Amino acid sequence: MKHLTLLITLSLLVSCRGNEEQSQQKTTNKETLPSHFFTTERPVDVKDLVDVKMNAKAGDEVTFLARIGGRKHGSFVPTLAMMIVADPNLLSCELMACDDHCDTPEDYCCEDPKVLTQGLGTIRFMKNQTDTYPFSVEGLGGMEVLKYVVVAGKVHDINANGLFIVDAKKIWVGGAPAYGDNRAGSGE
Amino acid sequence: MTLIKCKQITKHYYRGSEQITPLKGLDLEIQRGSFVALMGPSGSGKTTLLNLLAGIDTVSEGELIIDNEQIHNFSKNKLASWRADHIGYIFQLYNLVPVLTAYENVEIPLLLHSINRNERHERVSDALENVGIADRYNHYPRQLSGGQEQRVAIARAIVSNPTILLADEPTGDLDRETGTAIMDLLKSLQEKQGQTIVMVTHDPQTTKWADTVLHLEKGQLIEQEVRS
Amino acid sequence: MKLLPIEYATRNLGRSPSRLILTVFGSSLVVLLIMIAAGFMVGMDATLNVSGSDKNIMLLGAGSLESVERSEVKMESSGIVSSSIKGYKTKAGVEGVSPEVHIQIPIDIQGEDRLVLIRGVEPEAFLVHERVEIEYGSLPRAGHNELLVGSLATRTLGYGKPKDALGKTILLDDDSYAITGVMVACGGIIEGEIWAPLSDLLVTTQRDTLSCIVVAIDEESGGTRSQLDGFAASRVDLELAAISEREYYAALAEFYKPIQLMVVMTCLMIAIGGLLGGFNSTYAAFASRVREVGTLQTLGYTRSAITFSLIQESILTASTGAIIASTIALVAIDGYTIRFSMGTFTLLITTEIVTLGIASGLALGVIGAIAPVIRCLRLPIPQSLRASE
Repeated sequence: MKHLTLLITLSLLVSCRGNEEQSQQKTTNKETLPSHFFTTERPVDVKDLVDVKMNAKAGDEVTFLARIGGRKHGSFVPTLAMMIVADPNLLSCELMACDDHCDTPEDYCCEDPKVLTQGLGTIRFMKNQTDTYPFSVEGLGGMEVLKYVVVAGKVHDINANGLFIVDAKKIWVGGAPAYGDNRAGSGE
Repeated sequence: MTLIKCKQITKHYYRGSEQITPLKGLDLEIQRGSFVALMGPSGSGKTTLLNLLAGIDTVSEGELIIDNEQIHNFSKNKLASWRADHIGYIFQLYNLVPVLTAYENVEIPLLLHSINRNERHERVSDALENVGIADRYNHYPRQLSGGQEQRVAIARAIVSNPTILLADEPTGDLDRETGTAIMDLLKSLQEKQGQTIVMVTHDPQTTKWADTVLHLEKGQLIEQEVRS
Repeated sequence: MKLLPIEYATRNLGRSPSRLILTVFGSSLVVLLIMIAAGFMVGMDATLNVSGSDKNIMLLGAGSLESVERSEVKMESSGIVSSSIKGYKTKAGVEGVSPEVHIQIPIDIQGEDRLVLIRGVEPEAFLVHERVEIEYGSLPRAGHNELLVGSLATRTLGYGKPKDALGKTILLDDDSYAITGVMVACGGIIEGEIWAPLSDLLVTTQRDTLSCIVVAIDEESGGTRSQLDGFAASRVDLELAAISEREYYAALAEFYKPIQLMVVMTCLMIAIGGLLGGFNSTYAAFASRVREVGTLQTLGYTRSAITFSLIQESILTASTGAIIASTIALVAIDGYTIRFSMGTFTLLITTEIVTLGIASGLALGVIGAIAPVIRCLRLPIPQSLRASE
């Protein structure tokens, strides 16, 4: 053998690398959303995201309950006023107390990927008809991963594969649930 | 003319917690140009006295004045440079540096002085010639006999024209014939060059070359024998 | 301070050839290991650092940001990306949106199965990965089971020179592929890869998903990273996540830090063994010269002068070891191919590493002499003179 080859079998290590994953840079929220987006009065008789998504069409005005999260990282887009929300019935890791194999508490790795996709939605905060505000909304108005939100807005796009983009008009921000009390913080 | 003056010299050292005193209040004077033999049984203090005279050990009490310098007050570094200037030391086992040739061994003390290369060469050659070993310049110690090694050691001791030549049993490791030749050599250095020599010896035979024999016992001078 | 002649130090080295050999061996081992560890780190970092571009955004499976090989992206996503996103690079009708499959396949190399990273690409890949150049041969044609091999991968495949790979065939999952070209990529990770036409690789591996889509954004045409972030977040149905190539490889480099640390620690532990052996040998060499040191002091040399000479001697030995180690490193270690799960890199012995090696040798010389010198000079002169040789 002409060359010294040193085989470093790291595939297994790679699969355990969750905690090392790069965190996307968070913007410093000097910019903020106009106050009209936020409400402290929680709408009553609100359906869960999946129940609304099931029958929604583009252009519909919708109001639904969801939790911020759905991706183990990057549920808030770092440079745009955009975030991913998940249906309250989907179980994130922190509600399953299975953080031994989860990268983050908002990881939904125990859910079936297809079911998860159907239970997700994208919330956009639009500056005008075409542009999203150019900053992250993480932390604004108390918006943080795992927290319940009630979103009222207009469906921008939807398809059968799981696409569900809603342009928010009003948002109520609740609290985060706890293990054994999945609906805590939802305002119900 | 007095060259070495010892006034009430005492030397202590410790072996564990036990204090050993090889020299106790020794008074002694040695004249310039004399050949002195120090004799005495083991533990009498003769080697300790030689070490003090060589400046490789320091007195605990008393005064040691050599060539009008109070060397008992010298620091270690000053003693080192004083040794280079004033002392030539001949060891029983020659103590040549094995990786250096006869020439280089003799040259080593001269490197401590500001002497140019040519003069160094001249002095080393003279010293080697003086001791009768000029044909062994480039030989390493391992290539020399015991007598030849001691001659190189003597050349090394005299090359810097020391004030005092100290010899610690210089014939102790040599056969009788070679020993005699070495003693003749030392004697000739005294006679021809006026070299002051202080020699430690166990062997009464070798004292016949000395003009003064000092007998030490238990750290004190018990007899001073001056020969004509 | 009057010093001992340098000959004293140099000739002392030859006093005990076996001891000298042991000390030189110890110091060369220590220096060589330091250089290997540094070469490993520099080589890996260099490969990973030149592998990514800020302008290339990778769209990976949402849950697989950390590993492109584990990532799965729906086939239709590529078309959706190119039709939904604006501001990507285009050239001569080729769009800077590169659908790719990254997969490790065991290849039989001289009777041994070795995992090699194969990347399935379309022609767009050459626009997106602009550093890739064909060094020898030609591009593989789709439908002909042809391959393009990175210059480092040719070594992994057992070819002496990259050019020797041309025309050779290799088996990928029982399908025979012919090597038509050898590529280089400025030392990036791609040089350790094998590229195949995407369609051929999908057939061979019976795969129906991509690993990623790499988009080369063109800022002059309004392309931005946040556009792709927004796309990935809004198209939850495609289950994508965006990351720049540079971030991806930087994270990979970060991930391999513990491995680098492990290599450094292993080298360090072996080096400590060598160091102790060297110390022991220097110690023995000096300890046997206590009487000689006493003699030199009697002649008038100060402790400082003797210390200087002994350190000189130790430095001569250690720097001889360092020179031997540097020669070995430059001749035999520089360019050694190391395979890791994400590809291949070479050990790099740079000028800085050679300097580090020589400096380490000098430092070893000084440090290694301290304890023996203290041992040698701690005795009073009369006691030194009584010491046995």
